[in-house]
Amino acid sequence: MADVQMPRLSDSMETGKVLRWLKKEGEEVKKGEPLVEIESDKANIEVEAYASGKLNKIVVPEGESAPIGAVIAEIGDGGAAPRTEKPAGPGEQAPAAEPEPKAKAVSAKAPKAQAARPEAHVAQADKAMAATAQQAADSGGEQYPHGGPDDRTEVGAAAQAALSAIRRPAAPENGERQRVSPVARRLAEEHGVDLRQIQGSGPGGRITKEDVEAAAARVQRQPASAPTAAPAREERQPTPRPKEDVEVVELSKMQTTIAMRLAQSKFSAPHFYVTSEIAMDDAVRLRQMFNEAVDRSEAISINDLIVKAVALALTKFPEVNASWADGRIERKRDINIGIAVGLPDRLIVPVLRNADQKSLKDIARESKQLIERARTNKAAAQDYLGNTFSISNLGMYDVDQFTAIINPPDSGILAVGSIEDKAVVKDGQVVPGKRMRVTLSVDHRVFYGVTAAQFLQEVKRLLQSPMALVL
Amino acid sequence: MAVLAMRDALNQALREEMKRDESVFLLGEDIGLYDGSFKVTRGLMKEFGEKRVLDTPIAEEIIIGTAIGAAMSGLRPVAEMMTVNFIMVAMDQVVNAAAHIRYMFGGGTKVPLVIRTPGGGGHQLGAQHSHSHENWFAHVPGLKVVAPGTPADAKGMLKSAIRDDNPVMFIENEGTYAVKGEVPDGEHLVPLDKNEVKRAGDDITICAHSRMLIVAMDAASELEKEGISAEIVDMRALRPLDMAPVIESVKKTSRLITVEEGWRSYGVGSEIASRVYEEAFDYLDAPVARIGAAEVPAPYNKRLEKIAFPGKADVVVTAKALLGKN
Repeated sequence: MADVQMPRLSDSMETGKVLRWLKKEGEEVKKGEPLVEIESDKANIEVEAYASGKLNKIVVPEGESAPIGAVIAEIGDGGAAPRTEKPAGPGEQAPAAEPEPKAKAVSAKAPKAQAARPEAHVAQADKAMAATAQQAADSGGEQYPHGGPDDRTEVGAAAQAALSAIRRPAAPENGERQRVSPVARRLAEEHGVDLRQIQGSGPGGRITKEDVEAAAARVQRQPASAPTAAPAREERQPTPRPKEDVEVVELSKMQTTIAMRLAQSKFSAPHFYVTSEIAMDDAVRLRQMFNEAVDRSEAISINDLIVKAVALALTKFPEVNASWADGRIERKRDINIGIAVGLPDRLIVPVLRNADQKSLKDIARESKQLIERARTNKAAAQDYLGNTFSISNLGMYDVDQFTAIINPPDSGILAVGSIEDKAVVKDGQVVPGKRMRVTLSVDHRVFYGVTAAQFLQEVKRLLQSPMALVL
Repeated sequence: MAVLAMRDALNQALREEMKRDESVFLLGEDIGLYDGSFKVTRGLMKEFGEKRVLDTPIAEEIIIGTAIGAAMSGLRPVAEMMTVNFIMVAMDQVVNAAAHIRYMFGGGTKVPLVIRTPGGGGHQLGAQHSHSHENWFAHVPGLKVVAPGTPADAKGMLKSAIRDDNPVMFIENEGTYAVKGEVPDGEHLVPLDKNEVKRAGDDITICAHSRMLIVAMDAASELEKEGISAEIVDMRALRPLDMAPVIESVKKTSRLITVEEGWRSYGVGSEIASRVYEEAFDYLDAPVARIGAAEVPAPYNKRLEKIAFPGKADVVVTAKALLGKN
């Protein structure tokens, strides 16, 4: 038994009209023989039988319309009786004179029984379509409104090429380059992790970001098991006193990395220094007013003001927000400020991203979190990545001024001294003023003295007219 | 805010712009009396008359040529190509005329033209009706190319396209006309040059446009059940190509899949992948995976057709493979 359904003859067709049956009920039909002529919204088309057998029943008579997918006829396998209608269903007894509510007429129990009446099969198909539409809606969309829902669970041709690229087998051992993802290679360098010690977990044995992060964490954790009297840091491993009257302090992996990178910076980047004194009266007042206005948890520090001023100044000086990269200069689109944090045994520089786009409140909140995570050793690798310029502030330790070593890959670092009460000359009068000295260290390969001075002027201007930092 | 099917959102955009600006008119095959092959222009001829909604002969080169001339002389035509496959006979008009005129005349004349046309397959319409060719146009300086995947974007971008002074290829998809979504009432403009994160995630970035946006969103829901958090970037602005959200996302996730309904070779995904290699190489944890149609003329056979076009399963399995989870 096979149902003949209203075919979809054009993409915009919703219903079709039966113009002419080319076979009569009871007649034998062969698969491929013309069976019925259908009128769609575009054309009249002869439709072939999709199965052989006896045309048991014509459901939709000539001149009637039915929606796509509705049963319009039934072809039997020859001997079998038409699959219809013993009177059981309510539909059969419902002549035209007894108009039943539609909902009842299409009760799921006896769909076939109603098929003989045009309005009933229309209702049946409507219901089928509604169900399909609902199903499509449930599954998040109707992206296959005609071709059926996206029900494929096996990969098709679309993903084969991508998958074979991803799953390419691991390179053979003999001298072939180890497979390392770009981000893993970069992180390994930054954490001082030896890639040769890592087994890659990625497709084809590639070393991934996670592998390097895990290895870096292991390096940090390992010494923790050794009991130590040192109050703060576990990485310190006192060794037996040698003969000479000195104590030898072994460096942690991180200290080794810091030492290496600072030396590399100082000895490869030709540093020069520019110092400027900034009147901080207004900035101090602004901070006071700001902190009186907000909740204590949202309070800002002088350092937050400096971060914001530097970030805004960098937007005007892209040549400062740049790196020396093997004989070229890379200017960075993002402005990410490294904030140097001194801990008893190490110096770390968590990075505040896109500082130029953040409000003072956000800068204050985020830098508090960053510094806290760094202090408690909970920082993620991400926290240390992507700096484009750094600030080192020793203001709280009562220093007049100092010079800092550039934090790679930056080309500048601002060393910030304490704010001091000073006698200053203003309009010919000696008056009290608050002054802060900052020193900019510059990689002379990346930018030059005049730019450095102008950049510093801009930082100074912003801190001396600090409303710009709040806006 | 009303829930509208994509075709009705487009219809609303056309109606509003025609009311707002008398110089806006429509032309194309079967768009008037027949309401359009996909019913996008339903009721517009009745409302605005035969002077502003023109039924044309089946002659694509003449449709585009007429529209270019009208645009150069001050009107704002919106031409419909019944499917993007049919625009091939009018490529000379689109590329050599529409895209280049403003440049060749030193800015002396402009071509404020919109060509609306659906791509996409999956409906058993055979190789001459089933392809996606947005990359052909996205290759050409002088054209703007957009391909929205939600009804709200469809409305907002079509309105922006009509108001733009340059030729805009407005690529629709036969498979999304019935897709429903919330659409802001009245004035709603979406820029033609801004891509957007449509779903935030941490583990993997998936770029997709048009119908593939829906496929990608479905895949993301599936991946979520397996504990994988996918970020979906809607690449609705193909030219100029707004890469900013992709680069930002890749810097976070380190992994990228591109999904398009057209062929992979020389495709949208190829361009996105190249830009990512240029701008975010050091952030990648795996090669960029490109998903696209099988490299064959679209098959008519239903089963073959289903495996020839990308679906949810392709995205899910590829995402897991990139993460080393299968």
